Amino acid sequence: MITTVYVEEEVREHPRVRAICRRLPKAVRIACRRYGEIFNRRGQSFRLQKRQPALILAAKRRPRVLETPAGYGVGGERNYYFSHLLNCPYDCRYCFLQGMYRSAHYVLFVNYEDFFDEVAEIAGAAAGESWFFSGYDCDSLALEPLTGFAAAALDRFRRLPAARLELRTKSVQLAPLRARPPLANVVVAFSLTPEGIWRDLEHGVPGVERRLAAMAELARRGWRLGLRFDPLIYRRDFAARYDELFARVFAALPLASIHSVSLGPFRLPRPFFKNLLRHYPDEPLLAGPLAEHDGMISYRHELEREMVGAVTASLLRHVPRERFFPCAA
Amino acid sequence: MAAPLRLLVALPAEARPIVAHYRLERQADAGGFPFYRGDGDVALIVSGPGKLAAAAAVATLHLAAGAAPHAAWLDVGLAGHRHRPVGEAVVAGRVCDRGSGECWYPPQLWRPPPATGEVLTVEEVERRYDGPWFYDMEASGFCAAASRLASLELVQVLKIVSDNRRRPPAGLDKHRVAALVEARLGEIDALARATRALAAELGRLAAPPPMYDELVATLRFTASERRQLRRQLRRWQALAASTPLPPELLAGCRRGGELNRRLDAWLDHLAVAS
Ligand code: SF4
Repeated sequence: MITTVYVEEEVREHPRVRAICRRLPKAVRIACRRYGEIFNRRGQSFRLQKRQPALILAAKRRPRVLETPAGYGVGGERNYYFSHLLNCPYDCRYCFLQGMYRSAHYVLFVNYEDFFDEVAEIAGAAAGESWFFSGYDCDSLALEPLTGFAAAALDRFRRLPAARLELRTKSVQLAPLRARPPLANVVVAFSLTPEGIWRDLEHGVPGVERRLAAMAELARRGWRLGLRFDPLIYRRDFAARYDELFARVFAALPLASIHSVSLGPFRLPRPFFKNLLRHYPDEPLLAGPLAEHDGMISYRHELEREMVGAVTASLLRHVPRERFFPCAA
Repeated sequence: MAAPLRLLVALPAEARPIVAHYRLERQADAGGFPFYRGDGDVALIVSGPGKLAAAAAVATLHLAAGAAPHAAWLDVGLAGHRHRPVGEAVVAGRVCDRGSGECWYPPQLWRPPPATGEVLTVEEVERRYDGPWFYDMEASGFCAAASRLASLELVQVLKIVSDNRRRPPAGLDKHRVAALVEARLGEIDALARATRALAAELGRLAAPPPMYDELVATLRFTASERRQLRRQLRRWQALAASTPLPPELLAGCRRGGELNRRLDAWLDHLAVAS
């Protein structure tokens, strides 16, 4: 339940702001000049704020759509991402957002149309297809009942066939997808970890079974699905855990509905990792067999190789290699 | 254990009911400010009016009360408002300084949320009440200084309406001021408790892990080795808090660096096996 909404002066009269405030009638509304004076301020605690994050309604200025880091993608040549929302209602202990941001408040950029115009510009400027990843700094669907972002994005991408959209989620908020016929240029990608890891680390996230049911429903409706086994998390019996997960996933979903599968090991830039440790010093994940390589904290090399090798082999027993993208950043 | 509580008020009459409520005792003045302390690490300072005085009083209170790193900070005082009824209390969701234009947004993490207002700190007593603000004279100085000493969630401002267009401030005497604060001790105490709970959580996260003090007293560590030791002992707590440190880790160990290496290897082994 959101109890505080900060509203940037610039968007005070925006119809989307009015609609969102109507959906939160009991929330205290506080004016602010720019979201950064709340969100980026030094000397605040992400961990404390995570107890009761506020919502900041703001306008995003250019650039709104950025190139993805190298290695991020599912086979396309031109890959971009955009973030209409910063932060997430879930609380995954490995999430890089809690190491990257100073505040756990949600920042929602309400000028969706400006994002879509920029997408259209980029997609129109290049021959062939361009991929646009939503859900880079948030979960694409988890706050959908409040934001209506995915609904707006689907309506716009329907008219942009050269633009490919990935909605990345751990949620089961399917309303905008149920309400529309499937789009050939949209992939709904779900992140999954084995059951025990979900229980230990993905606080507030719908269970594996519920996500599988949601995916199966989307598959029945004709939507194309992505599977993101990212991050890979170590347990002594990790191979058996991932085997079991894959068996469940591929029993529940028809292969024809699966557009792409990717996996990526647990990895964090050192400064983010240090922030996470400050927030959660007693978290076993962060006390694991980790090491620093080139400014990144990840599992020790030989362990990471062993995990990626075993899990990849297991995965390739279920999916054809051409749909597999191993090194999502 | 409750986290330290640091209270700032502008006027002696505002202090009186709070001093009585927390059973505080007057100490020798600190930096020229009246200063009170009580059980449970509660301390209060009387700043006098104005944001500069408030900022100076915060710094003085911090040092005089022992420079605790994770204290809850509360500014309690009176404010004027265009039309809100005299006696109403609000927690500040935003504090702005009319002079500099700078604003603070003390995070409101409470469930259910208390009544919240936007406070504008002005240089002189406000009589026109042009804007929708709660007008005060200290909050911005308090926020500027206290937010350097504590995480912003621990810096809270509670204002009680003392005057409005129909009841101007001219008639306020010290008995009336004290009565206004006394009537809101429930809200003050609730905010203090909630903020202290947050402070306690941050204090717990930053506390040295078990065995840290003993080991630092026994072996020689450089500053960076102490940081590593802290980290390794935290790992131990995260991975196997109920497993005692094996005696062989310490056997024959003379330097902190060597202990850190042994701890690292032992913990890696534990981590891979878990
Ligand atoms: S669902 Fe994704 S964005 Fe949300 S907390 Fe988990 S990892 Fe972070």
